[in-house]
Amino acid sequence: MRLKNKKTAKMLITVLIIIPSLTILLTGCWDSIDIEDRAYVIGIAIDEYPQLPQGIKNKENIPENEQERMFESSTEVDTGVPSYAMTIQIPIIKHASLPNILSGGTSEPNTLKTWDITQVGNSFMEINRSITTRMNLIPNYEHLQVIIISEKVARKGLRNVLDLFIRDHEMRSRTKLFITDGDAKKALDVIPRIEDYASIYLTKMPRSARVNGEILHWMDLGQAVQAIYSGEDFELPALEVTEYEVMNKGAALFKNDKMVGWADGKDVEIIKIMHNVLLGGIFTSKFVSDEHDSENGVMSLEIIKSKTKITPVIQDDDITFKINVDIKGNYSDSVNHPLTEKIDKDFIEKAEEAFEESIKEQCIKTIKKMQDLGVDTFHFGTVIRSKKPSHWSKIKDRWDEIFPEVKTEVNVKVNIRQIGNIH
Amino acid sequence: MENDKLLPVQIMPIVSSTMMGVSILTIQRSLSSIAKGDAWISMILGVILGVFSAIFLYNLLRLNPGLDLAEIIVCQAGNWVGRLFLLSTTIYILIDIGLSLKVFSFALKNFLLDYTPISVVSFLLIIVIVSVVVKGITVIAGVTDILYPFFVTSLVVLIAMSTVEFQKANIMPIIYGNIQNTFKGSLPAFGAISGYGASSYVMKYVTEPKKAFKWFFMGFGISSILYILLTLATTLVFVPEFLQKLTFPTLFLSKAIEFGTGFFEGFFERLEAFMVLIWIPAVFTSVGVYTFASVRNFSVLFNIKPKFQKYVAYAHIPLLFAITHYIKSQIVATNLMDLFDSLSIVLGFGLTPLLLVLTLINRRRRAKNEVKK
Repeated sequence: MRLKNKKTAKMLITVLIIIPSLTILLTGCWDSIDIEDRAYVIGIAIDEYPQLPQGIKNKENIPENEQERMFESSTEVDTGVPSYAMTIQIPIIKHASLPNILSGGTSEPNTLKTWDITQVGNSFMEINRSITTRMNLIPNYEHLQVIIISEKVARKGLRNVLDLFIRDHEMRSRTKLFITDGDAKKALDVIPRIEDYASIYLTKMPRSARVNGEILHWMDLGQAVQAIYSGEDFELPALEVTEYEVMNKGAALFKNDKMVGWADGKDVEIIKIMHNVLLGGIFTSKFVSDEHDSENGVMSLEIIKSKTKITPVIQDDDITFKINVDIKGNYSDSVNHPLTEKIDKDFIEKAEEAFEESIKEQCIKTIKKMQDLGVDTFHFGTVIRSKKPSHWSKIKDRWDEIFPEVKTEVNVKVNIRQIGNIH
Repeated sequence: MENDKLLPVQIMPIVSSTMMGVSILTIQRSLSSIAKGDAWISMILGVILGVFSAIFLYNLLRLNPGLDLAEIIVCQAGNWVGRLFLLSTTIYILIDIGLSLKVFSFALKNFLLDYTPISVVSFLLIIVIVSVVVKGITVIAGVTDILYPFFVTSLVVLIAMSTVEFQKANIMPIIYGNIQNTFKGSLPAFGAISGYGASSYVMKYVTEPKKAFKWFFMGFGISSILYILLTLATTLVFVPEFLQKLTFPTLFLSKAIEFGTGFFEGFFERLEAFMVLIWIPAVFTSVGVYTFASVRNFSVLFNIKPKFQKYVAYAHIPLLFAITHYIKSQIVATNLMDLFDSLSIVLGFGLTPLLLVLTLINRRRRAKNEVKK
């Protein structure tokens, strides 16, 4: 009996020690931050400093908040001098139901749908932390959708800019990246017609790549960082910004991590064809019908599938890339072609030839443009490394000199599958 | 502890999950820094080395029925030399457990528990592991039976989903001018999968050891295939120059997956958090079996009776905490863990064959003595 009591007492003591210990160790979760205490950053714009971004609204009828401008121009940094201005966009959830009249950082606080905070510095982590001196919530980047970088920053190099965004555990490597020719902050100031927030509007734009080949959809933060590490040239989607809209067409071209030029929408379409990532798009050609030839005759092809094979042919120092493009598509429409005319087998064959010629022409034009810029955006170097490794080891150090001189042989095969409801 | 019994089939999840410990989160980085795009071939070579080592271990255990590795060392190598070997093995395993726990604590801190002090994370892991080890191998095996399907499934899903991100150019050209590095990579690859060795402490509890070897090789096969596929997947998704910079490539792989559009868009946005959660029990199982091995090592080394083994297990709490607490830096912990994993080649191709030879010599000697009698 006594023994049993002793055992019970021992057990009781153990339980009494364990339960308070667990209460202290487990219930007080260090990482617990209530959802209403977090500021979810959905978009980031990075501009060059000292040129502080000026929102479009600031030029219009809305007076600037002088106090806020003072905060933005606060240049206190621990090391060096500030070289970047970073703007974060935080949605004001309780204003989400308000009509899309105003958004952005410097208008009437009661009607704003987002809080856009700009801070300057030379370390993005430091900027991030200094932003917290102006808000009562803790910034959280787990729902970051988009990063917009100005051309000026991109031309200085992305390696420094992107380090935090790939290193920090809160960031997502699938975050969309855009390059603007003007101030990046302007893109966050856009007042979208349908979406609530500019960042969400921007991040959903690449979805249209399935119907428009001129939209660069597959490059994001992770892809850009990988390209920088591997030393491959790459491209990032370009943005043109107005007050209510953005145009996501074309691309900014990068060598190493520095931007060196722009590619237009048609170039992007060809780059995507070369990379086998074209989801869809339209190619047009002049009309081919004999009796109905006219100056303004246009027919279009809706691409449903595209497959490209690039083969390097090396003879001594002479490098030629054989590029075979196989495109399957649907005949979509014709302009200046009488509807009464029949579209028969002969017509389709002629149309295929015309599209082949048109696409080939565009391919050659884009390749020439990239060679002139010295940007191997087609990754011809990678093709040689993969298929002719012995030759690559001889030329890899001189590739930048060799690339502009390489020859290309483009063969395009177009196959029209459907012609729609009418013959 | 001494009355524990296991079914032969339970060896499969134990072997498989012991192999897939913390190393499965980090190994691709080491392999990629050595063998670049041929990291996956290094992994295959590592598995081939593992097969040979497993055959040595299988024969060693077969010839020493009813004994675990700690007992075999003392029995075959003699009281003094054997204890010397056992002492080194004990220290090796203890430090390896501590390093694994520290690296995993860093993974938890990086991906899940940003503000929780790392010492608290490590301490809680140690307490939970030791509390299960105290209950004996039957409880460890029971917990493994429940958890094993979850983390195998999670790995298979991860590999399958990553296929959408594959870039063939990342592994091309295959083994061109890289043969030496590819072979060199097989060493850490072997180290990563060498966890099956811990089963040598478990096998003696199996009711029908002969049947258990079939399950042993099945568990070995499942984990080896998953290691190879995961290494191939990470190499196909990340360029080698980037892969070798990643601290936890497997977890980063789960971050890199973008799954579809429309309804599925954003479906796996926080996949890495889910993966970390799945890995907590996976690491728990792996480290649990290792801790059990360490308890057995100490018990045999100091002739501790089985009824006092639970105190040996409790003694592991301060020991492991001291190791985890001593290493402050993530880089140091990861590099040391890789080094310790690579050192397992000494156990696999040094100690095990040596013990096998000694077993054969001792058997022949015994047989001769019996003939003389």
